[in-house]
Amino acid sequence: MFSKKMHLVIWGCLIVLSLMLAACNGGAAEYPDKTIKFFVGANAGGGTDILARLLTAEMEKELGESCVVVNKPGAAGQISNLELANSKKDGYTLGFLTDFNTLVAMNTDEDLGYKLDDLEYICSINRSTNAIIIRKDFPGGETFEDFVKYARENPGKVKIGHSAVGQALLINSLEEKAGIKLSPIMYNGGGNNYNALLGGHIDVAIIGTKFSAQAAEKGCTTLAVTSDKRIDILPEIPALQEFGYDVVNNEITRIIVAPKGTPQEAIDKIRDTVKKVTATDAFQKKLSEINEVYEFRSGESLMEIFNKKNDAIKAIVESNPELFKTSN
Amino acid sequence: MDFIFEIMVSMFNPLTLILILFGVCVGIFVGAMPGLNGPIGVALLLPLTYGLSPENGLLMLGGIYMGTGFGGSVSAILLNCPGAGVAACTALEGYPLALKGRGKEALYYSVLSSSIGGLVGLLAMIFFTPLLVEVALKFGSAEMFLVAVAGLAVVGSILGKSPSRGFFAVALGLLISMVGIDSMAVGKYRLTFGFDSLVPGIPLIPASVGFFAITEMLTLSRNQSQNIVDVPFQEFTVFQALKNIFRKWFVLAKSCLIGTIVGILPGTGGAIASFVSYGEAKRSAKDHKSFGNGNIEGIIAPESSNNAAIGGSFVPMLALGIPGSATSAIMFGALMIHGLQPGPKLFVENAHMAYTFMLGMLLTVICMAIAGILGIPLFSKILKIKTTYIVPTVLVFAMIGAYSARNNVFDVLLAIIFGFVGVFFKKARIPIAPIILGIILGKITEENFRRCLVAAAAEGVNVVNYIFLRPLSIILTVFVAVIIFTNFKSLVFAKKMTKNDAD
Repeated sequence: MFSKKMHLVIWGCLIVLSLMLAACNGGAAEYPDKTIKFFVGANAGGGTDILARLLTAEMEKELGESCVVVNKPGAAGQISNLELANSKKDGYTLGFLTDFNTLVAMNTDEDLGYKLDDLEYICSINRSTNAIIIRKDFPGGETFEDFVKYARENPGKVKIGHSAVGQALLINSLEEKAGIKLSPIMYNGGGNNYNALLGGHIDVAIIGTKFSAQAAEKGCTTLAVTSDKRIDILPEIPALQEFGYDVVNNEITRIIVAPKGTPQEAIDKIRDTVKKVTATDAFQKKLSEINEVYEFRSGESLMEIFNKKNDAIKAIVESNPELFKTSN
Repeated sequence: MDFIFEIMVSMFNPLTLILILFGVCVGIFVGAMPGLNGPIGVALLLPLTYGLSPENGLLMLGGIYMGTGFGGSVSAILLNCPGAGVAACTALEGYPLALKGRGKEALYYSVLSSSIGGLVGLLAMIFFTPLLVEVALKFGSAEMFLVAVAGLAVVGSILGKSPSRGFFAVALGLLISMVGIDSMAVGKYRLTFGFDSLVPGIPLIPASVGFFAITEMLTLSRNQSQNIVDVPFQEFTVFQALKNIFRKWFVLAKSCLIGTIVGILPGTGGAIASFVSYGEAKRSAKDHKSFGNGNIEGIIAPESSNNAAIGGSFVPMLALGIPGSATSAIMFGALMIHGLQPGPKLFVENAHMAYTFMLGMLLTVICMAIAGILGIPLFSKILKIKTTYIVPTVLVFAMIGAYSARNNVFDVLLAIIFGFVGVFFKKARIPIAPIILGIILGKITEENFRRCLVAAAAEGVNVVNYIFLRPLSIILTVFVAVIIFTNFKSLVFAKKMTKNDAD
């Protein structure tokens, strides 16, 4: 009786396998005519993943083919990028590249297994940035100037929480430009960083702007956002640049990439599709619900920002090699 | 009150119930498969929820989460292959019972304590969220470090017969947890030996798939006997099991409490909860010696605890808008995709949704209990299948499990390597569970200790003072000390006994 069931299991497995193989055989019809894989270099449920799932759901409707998110977490997105760079150049493997993390990784590690040139940068749809939030009852005042003054008077005494290498770079850049010394503490993910801030275990946090509103309800004050200019969802919060500190632009943009050599036809199709589906009010409303700022960029305007960020990050890493350069 | 009643009525519609039941069954299946776990199950079915209402979608995912809490024990008890860390302790007691022909009985203990634990955790979430979240916020790096040390102290309870081999195993686990990129610094690699594949570190899943599932299957394939169990099966009813569990009410209550508290803490999860409550159950038991040979307290404690952690992990999600575990993180994402912002605002802006979720989770427990109790007679038949069929089937699923955590082929290779290493360890009588404990706790211990170092320096105090001179720390330290002391005592006692036997 059981061997019969076992047969069923084996047949079932074979059928699934053959279906998978069948799905792999691409024809020469108009792009796209089969499932598109969309790599995300982070776990399901995180910010990048949510953005990817919202986007692919819309792309599916427009392209008429399914568009599946494949999570490839690890090494701040580098696993996903590496695998993407080495995958088939047929337009059926795309992915999100988080610019800041990737540029930091590229500049700190000489050998990531792939180069920035191995990828095709199609377009980007968002820019998200961080906020500097102080805990409840922080003695160092209510504004960013007060905070800098307090930090200058108490070198090394201010505990600043962060949860990403990009934020670590920003802290380093801020310390240098403002002439202060902070004690950075790294957490796993923004949630834990936020927890520590609410519990008063750290004095200040560099954390995603989405936490700003909920932190305010708990008595925490947002001092600044860490980008060149103010952002739409927090119009009353000043940008760090307004205080005259020329720190690295900490904005994070997720760029849709494909392996280099992907047919131009496919790249154009993806870019146009993404532009079309993201331009709708409904989609932008969804973006603002997940606290993302919409901004479509492609071609020159995309690469200009990308290269500028790369130069800024390179400068920080080169000036602090022992802190940031890779060692075994 | 009318409001609650209205939600209850709307919840008892056939579609919702079917979806919850479906979620629970998927959860039990996913939990039972080596390598697959809650986060993977929820992520797999996430796209299915796009077409459902947010309430139904979320409750289906909640059903998966709840089901995995029990599912892991099925393979742990019957095949000695705990899916991931969550059921590692259950395997220590459940498998010996199964070998004695009491597999069905062990499964009943597991499903009943999982259900009770699940209920307690959820009720704590429903009634005490504001209080619990205040407690959770008190846990800084110092307290988290001590919780991790308490977990490590439990190793004394799962050492097996030889302490030196047990300590070797936990040290190996800690070493494995250190491999890869240093998560507290930028661009610093450790123990990668120049292999790029090791840079992201060795995750828990390939290690547990290798050490548990593959090792066990390789050992089983060398077995002379055609069957896993050679003794006749003993019949057992669910009512007898229930009676026995309530006789152990104190262990049950303690484990539910530990599970709920550990569940709330950020970065922890069901696995740590089950290890700590197993250790505590063994510490407080009168007959330590029966542990490891099928003590039912050793099933009740971890199983109730890991399901209690589920309710706990929703507390920070509902009160602060941050997920408390890997699985709740994906459910958090699911809410966001449906345009709902988890957090305190949910109760104001989408009160119907928030309360439906809270009450509906109770339904997932009931569905799990029903599916589990009805399924157990079927599950326990797995033991009647010839090992020649079991071994290849489990191995295939183990490979899928190892691959699916990061969709990475390297992890499959890792799992195979660990599988063979595990066979060697079994021959050398080195216990496996402490390795997994070391991998789970290594990062938490190290990272929180390093956070303490920075914070202590910033405050200008000695790190020892910083860690221990806090109100919560004192309680935790006493707890750790008691666990270590009892383990030490029982080790010395065991040594004396063997000496006397030898004389």
